[in-house]
Amino acid sequence: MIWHIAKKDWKLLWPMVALVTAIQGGLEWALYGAGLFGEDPAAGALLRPLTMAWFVGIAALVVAVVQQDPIPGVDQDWLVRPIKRTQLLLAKLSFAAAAVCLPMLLFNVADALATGFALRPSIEAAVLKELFVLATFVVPLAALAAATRNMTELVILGALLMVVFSVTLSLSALVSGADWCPTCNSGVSWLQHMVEHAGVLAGACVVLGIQYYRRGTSLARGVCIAGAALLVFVQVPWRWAFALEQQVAGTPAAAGIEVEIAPDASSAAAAAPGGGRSSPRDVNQAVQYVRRRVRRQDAPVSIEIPLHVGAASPDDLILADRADITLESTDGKVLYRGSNAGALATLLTPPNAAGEAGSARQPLDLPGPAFRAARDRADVRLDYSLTLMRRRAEYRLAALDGELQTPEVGRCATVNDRNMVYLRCKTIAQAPFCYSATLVSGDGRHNPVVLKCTPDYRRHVPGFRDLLGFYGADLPLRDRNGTVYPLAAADLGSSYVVFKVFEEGAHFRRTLAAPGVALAAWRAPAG
Amino acid sequence: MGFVIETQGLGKTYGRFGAISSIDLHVPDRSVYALMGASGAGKTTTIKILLNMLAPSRGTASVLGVDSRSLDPAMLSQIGYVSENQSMPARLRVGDFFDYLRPCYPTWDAALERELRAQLRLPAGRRIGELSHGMRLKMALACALPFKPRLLVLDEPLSGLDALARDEIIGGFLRQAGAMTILISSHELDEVQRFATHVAFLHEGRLLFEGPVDALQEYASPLFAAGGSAARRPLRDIFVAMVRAARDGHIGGDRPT
Repeated sequence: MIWHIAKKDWKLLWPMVALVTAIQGGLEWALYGAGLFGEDPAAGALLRPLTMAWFVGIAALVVAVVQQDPIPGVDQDWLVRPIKRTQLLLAKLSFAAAAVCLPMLLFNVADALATGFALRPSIEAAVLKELFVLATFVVPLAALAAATRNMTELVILGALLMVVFSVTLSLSALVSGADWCPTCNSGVSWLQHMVEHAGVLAGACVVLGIQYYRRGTSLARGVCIAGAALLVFVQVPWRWAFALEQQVAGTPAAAGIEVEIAPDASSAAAAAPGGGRSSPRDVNQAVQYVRRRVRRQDAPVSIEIPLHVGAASPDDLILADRADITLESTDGKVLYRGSNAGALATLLTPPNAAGEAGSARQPLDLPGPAFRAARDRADVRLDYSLTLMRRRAEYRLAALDGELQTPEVGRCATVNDRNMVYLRCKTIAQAPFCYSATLVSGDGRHNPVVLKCTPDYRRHVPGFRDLLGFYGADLPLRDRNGTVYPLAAADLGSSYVVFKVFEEGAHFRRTLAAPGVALAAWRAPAG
Repeated sequence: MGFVIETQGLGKTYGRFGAISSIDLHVPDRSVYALMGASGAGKTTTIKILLNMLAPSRGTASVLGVDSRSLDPAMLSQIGYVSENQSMPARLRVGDFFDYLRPCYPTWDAALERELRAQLRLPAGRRIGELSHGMRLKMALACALPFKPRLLVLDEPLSGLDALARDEIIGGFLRQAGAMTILISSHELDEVQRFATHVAFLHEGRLLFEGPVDALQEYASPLFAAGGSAARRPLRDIFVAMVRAARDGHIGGDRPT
């Protein structure tokens, strides 16, 4: 009967399936054609509209197949037919999976093979990706479609869910500040995402169950709305997330690595080379802005904590994933307790000094009143969650039209123009999140290291649209002021790119204490 | 006598609006039972509850000996349903819809299907959404009969049809009248009088009368004391008289006063 129902839906929807398949094929062609460096401008130009058409197309197809036999209402023909609800549900999900995921799998595998990856990893990665799309997009969308009668109702319900989500998120951020999402923008945010995906999938299953077995449309819609709010409220606490990450990573503790507050604030060297105070895309900045407008004296004050980082092995990097700070007055009264939640991780070891003891600065925002209370004298305690990044592999490829293909980094190539050498890679596995590239000549001269390190400790979670992950680095031949680096365009023929990929070596914690600090000395320079 | 349909205190409310209240129906086996009333009387609501398309707010309904809330595919394969509101897949072609339904019913008689499709002149290649109202009803009927249901439920099957189409529809379902129980809801009182063995009058969600047609005429006689007996009076006259009596409060017990 499942096959029979699906066959009926095929008769009704085959033109739509054909259209969506064509869009998927077009998108894959555009992804392939755009290449590593956008070789085909037409393919590159088509990427954006085709991506939008792809999203709309697969969403419309899933909704259409479910709403061929709508659940809400009392006039549907299927209600009086001898059809088991389970069979109807499975028929709909099977059709959606086959019509959306099967063509996508074939196109993805074809793209990966054409790019030069082996068959088995291509198929494995594509199957994983399609399962991910099925669980995180197709099934939840089918649940929304089952809770609505037609596309108009679906759009209205979708808009309502967006409003509920946005209002809940705004309220949560306004009340809790950056702590509304302890893991946001951090390397362990994948745990939060997994919880969200699992929650959405579970909620979708509940809605489908309510609709197909009880036809309780009001209840199902209530579950959808409650779920949208819960997505904001259910947050994995930082300590749990980091502890779980330590367990999952299974890496040994980094016992020998010292991190301490520099005894003399004025001895701090240049600003930390990586990371920043906050992510440009999150809502925390908006909340800070609102708070500043409401009460100017509450405006946060930026400080930079001078740190001394003990020696690790050569080529190791240390990332500060999170810093919890406690300020106490000299009589033991807690003046402030907070963190840099929501901020990107800070790189505590500068790339040119990897492996050597050095100094760094930890940027941190404090509320205005807390800073003023502690500016002259306070006891500072910092609880750091840190990650040691170890070099996983090092490669060399020619600076001019170099090529490289390995399982670790995928397929990489270089091209150049007058100002820059461009390194671009495509990989079928998870793209490295921490890597450096240095332009080096045969005689040992080199330009500054370009380091990209945005922590993302997830195990392989596939991308939604692309099977292949893209990444790369731009290696400038001159600085911002136009001053030429040691290696210029004329040297590129005899130069190569040293490409280092880092991976997590250990996640560990350190507690730092500095009694009697005048916080005013740590205030960040204006601008 | 066995009842194919039996309800007890059946009620349905939408918020504060009561669609039907305390309906007790008893549909005998192999009868042609007409559920009659003006538009909005509660006929369709009652039928949708009987077929588990709607949940009752109060009371219970038993269909083919099973609680209507527990009607499973095995029971539904013995029930035919034709409704003017039936929402069929509009983009599917008539022939494809029959292809879809055929395997759903173990007792489907392909010869009877061919006969009905020929008799009702159903165009196999047309999309259902392109059919006229009358043609759609004929198609629904042709889909409801080939599996030889024990119970055929017809919800306003004659509404909006011309005389020719009505005759075709009535002829279609009456050809199997002796072999099945037919529940038909209608406000077309004159038409129904031609074939109904039992009637129930609904008015504003309340049951005014239920029983054999002959018993109705006897029951309603007091309403016509001034103008003679109710015998051989059209159902329409009896229904109008009963509605008036109900409004005046003369109906409410066992027999009108």
